[in-house]
Amino acid sequence: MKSLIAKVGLISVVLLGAAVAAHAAGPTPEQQQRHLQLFHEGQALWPIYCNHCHNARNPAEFAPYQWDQIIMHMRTMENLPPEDEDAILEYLKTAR
Amino acid sequence: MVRTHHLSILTIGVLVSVALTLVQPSRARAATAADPAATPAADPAEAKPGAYTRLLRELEAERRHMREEERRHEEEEAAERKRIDALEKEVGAINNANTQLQQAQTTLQNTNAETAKQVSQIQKTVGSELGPFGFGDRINSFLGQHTFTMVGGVSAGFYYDRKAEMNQPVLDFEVNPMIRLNDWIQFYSSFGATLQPGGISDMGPSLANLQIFPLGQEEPLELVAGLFDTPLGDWFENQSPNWVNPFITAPLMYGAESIAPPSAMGLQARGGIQWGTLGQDVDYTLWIDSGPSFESSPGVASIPAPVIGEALNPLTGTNIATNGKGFGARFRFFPIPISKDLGRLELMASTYNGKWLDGLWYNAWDVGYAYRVGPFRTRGEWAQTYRQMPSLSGAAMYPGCCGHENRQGWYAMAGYFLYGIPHPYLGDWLEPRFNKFEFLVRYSGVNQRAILANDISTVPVFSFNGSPSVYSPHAREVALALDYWIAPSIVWQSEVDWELPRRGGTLYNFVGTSSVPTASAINATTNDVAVMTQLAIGF
Repeated sequence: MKSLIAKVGLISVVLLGAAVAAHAAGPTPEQQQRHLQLFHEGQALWPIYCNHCHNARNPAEFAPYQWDQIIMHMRTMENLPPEDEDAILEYLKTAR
Repeated sequence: MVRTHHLSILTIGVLVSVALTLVQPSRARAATAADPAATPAADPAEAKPGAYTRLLRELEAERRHMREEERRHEEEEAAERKRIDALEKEVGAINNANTQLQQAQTTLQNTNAETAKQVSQIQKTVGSELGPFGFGDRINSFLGQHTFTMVGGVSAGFYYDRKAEMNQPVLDFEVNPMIRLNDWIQFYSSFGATLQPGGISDMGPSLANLQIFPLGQEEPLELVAGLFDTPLGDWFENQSPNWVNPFITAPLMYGAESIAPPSAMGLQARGGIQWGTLGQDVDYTLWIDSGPSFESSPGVASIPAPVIGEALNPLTGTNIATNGKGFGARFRFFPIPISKDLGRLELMASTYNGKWLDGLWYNAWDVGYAYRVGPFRTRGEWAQTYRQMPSLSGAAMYPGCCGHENRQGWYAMAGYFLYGIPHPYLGDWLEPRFNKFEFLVRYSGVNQRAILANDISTVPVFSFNGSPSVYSPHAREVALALDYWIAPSIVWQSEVDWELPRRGGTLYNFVGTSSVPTASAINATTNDVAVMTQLAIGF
């Protein structure tokens, strides 16, 4: 019984340590490059896709958390491909 | 030095000329006294005074020239002194600015050092903290943000219709609460009120649905469950909000005599994928719902019996239990890549089919396009619907009752922002205002077998110009609009509609409590014109 508790405790500590380490590491250069690529794609898509139905709204009109919701809705209404949604959202949240 | 030299020459010249002046007259007098017969011209001494005088004049001219030179030099020297003074002042100002810059640089260096120290301390704190922050962040990212946002639109305007002789203010207000429960479920709804003949309508929901990402946001599958805009064509979903529609009115096929149901209760599956490069997409929308509803449908029964020409209902909550069912599909194709810089083109086809009264079919087909590039945009649709009518016999029969109902509707519109027109001489004040104008034109029409007199309204309400000529079996409309876009979602619109209905068709009318309509032929419906202006704000 003691052995089982020790194993479970050890596994828990390892998992918790891995989670903390992953969080403390911050974005890698690859992730930063990915964000930059998404931003540029979003910058190109935003005026084209939004203007298709209505005038493109200014990124500064809404807070980032609001853009999360609005783009979730607009993706549904306009059937945006997931990667295009990611790019437009990255642009709108960053270009404020 | 030069001036001193000139002065010396001048002084000597003056002295010589004075001496010569004094000597010459005495010599001349002496010569005349010694030889009275001698003529002045014959004596060389007689010519000398003239030469001296000439020399004296030349010297005087030279003196004046010297003085002018001296004055000019003095003026130049004074100007030089002024310039030197101004330069000295500028040098002083630069020295002051340089001192201030050095002080600012020193302050910045101190601040940077302090900031670096603080960042270092924070990094140490974060690095050494083994609290639940990372674990909590991961839990939050899984469960979502639990956020609430409200968007919507409001519009107010004034409509006039000549044939109805009606002036009417209009108001429409709509809010869209969005509640994001987590990363894969969001609730979306629409509550609105409209100014109507009886006053402002009750604030009620016109949309209420859950938007669900069952496979996560990285997969092209979304579910929409609840009350939603009918995805037949693009109009109801994408163009109907008051600040999105560039016209004040709806095209005839989606307006007062709509040939498709505006909303439905059901379940959608939809998504889009990129089939080529960036911008080349294809998307799908599949849905099942509660089926189309007409005025005579159970639960509504605003007219006593089914009749050709009766209007379709929006889903209001009073007509959910219809025993109807419907299913539809829409596919859209976007062929132009972003990199071509040729704008965005959409090609669309959709269908909607269902049972509207137990086993009676309703079928609809719609094809359309939309294109926008730079200041130009255009879109259009063509739709055809079929409705199977009940078999009537005996007293229930009415003239023309026993065929089926077919309707066609179409519209095409184009708009152009004036910023696309070269206008180099408008000036700083006028140019940005000129750029915000958009000129639009739209042609729309509907063909159907009959119109119901009980449906005809001549009171303008939001999105309807109040013209009775719209209620014609073969309605046609030309709309011209001039929009001034104050901001991307704030527009002041002005529109003129010409109603140009064709002759033909039948007018049905339920008189009193009769369940059988009377019928009369519609020969010619007069043309009409309506003028409208409206401010629409999206927020």
